[in-house]
Amino acid sequence: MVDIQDLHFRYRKKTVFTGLTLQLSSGHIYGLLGKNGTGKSTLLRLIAGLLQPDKGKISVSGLTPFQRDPEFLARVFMVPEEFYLPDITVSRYLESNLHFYPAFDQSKMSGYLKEFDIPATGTLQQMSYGQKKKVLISFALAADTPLLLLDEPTNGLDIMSKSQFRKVIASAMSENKTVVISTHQVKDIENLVDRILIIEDGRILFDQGLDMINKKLTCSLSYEPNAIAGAFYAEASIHGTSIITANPGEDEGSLDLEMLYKAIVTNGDKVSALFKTNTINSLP
Amino acid sequence: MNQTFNLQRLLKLIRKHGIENGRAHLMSMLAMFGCQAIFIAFWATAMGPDYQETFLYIFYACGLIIAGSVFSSMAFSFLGDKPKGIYWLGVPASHLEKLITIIFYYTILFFLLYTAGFLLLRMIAVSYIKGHSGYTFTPMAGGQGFGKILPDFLFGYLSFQAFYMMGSVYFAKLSFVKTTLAGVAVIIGFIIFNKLLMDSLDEGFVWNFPNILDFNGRNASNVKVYSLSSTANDIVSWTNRLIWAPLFLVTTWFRLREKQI
Repeated sequence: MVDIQDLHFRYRKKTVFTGLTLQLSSGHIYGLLGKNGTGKSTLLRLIAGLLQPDKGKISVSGLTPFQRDPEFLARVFMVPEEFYLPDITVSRYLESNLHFYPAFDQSKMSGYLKEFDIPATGTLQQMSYGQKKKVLISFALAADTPLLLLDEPTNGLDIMSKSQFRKVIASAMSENKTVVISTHQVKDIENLVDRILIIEDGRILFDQGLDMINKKLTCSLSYEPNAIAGAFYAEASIHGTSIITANPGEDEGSLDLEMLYKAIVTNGDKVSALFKTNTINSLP
Repeated sequence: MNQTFNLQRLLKLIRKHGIENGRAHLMSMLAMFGCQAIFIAFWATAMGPDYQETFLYIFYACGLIIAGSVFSSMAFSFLGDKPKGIYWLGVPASHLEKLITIIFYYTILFFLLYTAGFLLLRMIAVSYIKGHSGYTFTPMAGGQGFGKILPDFLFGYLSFQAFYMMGSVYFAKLSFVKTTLAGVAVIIGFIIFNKLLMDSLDEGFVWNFPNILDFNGRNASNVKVYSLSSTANDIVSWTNRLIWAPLFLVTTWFRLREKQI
């Protein structure tokens, strides 16, 4: 679905990517994690064709994003962190936009709006930030584009809306669809994403499926100094020390995405080595 | 699916723009109509008793170019705002269709509404003047005076519109001011170029675009003139009228294609 080869990109005063290579396949929900300013939003905008790579190649279903051909734009929908919606009612918004997306499903749109409890009256500008965002997410899902890019989608959503968000995203998934969710609120996408990408200093620091991660790593509470010292990451709490360690039995462990992220950011080489070693060991 | 131009897609885009921006455009047009009404009402009531229609058309032509340029300088102002720019660039239509949509609203519809407003007000004002026994009204002659050069103002309108539209893609903020300054810089550059061209001529020769006058050994009534043939002169003249708008619009299209947000 998305093929990025040797991507180089820099803003006037800041280099963001120097040789990023990445493939995203259909049928997955990717969680794109990383510190502020590491290039998550830039990567999404490059994939959406809003920015032009300095060097390297991006291909989405064989199309070049920056050409911004109508065929490409009808296949990709991006929900940016800061977004704009015109000052019209939801029905007028649908009337003016839905014809551009061949697979748009109006009944799904109505269902999402109902799920999100969006008022039927009033213009989009009269809605709260969270309501506007929910309208845009609903439209993005109803448009049923093969590639959906969500940049910090849960920002501005209340607790109930966040769980509704997870529910509607999960219900909209299909084998032909790829969803990329960029966020630093990892708790919001737990149990939703099936692959984790972590960006650091313009490169992919970690790229693994959740099944594999659950086999290789586990989170637990510990009081034993040796276990704490040997953990990839440890964090003291009033209940004991939360640690993330290698999963010795390779049975599915319990995983906390936030702990995983912290382990990779603070101890990335060791975590990555564990995956490489096990990958090599699993070869016949 | 044609990736450059599709009429159905263009019509959808024009409709979308109308739905989303119709109210703002309507307000702008009403404001402009109000300004026209104030000016024409002032002319009809206070500029008598001898009324020249030419004066009205001078107002029409100058107003068209000035108001059109201001309006056009806002055509792509949304590209200076990241969320609005992402929203607009993300619409599944080609850059050409998006440009044509903007031209439709900011150049064609603006011209039609400005002209319709003017003609309506002119009709009311002329009726008012003709209804007063002490007033005289002189209609503008079509083929002479200002009437002769009015079509040139219309070409000028298209060129200015395209120029300010191009400026609104290049300059995210203060587009009108910056585009005007850029235009002034280009004109000054052209004047300097002409001056250098004149200076490069031998003594006794004067550059009087598009002719060169030879005064060597001659008096003022016996100047030798090097000029283009009338056909070549017409070609240069019409090229000068017609070239600017397409040139600026093609530049705008290229700039849109390479726009990054």
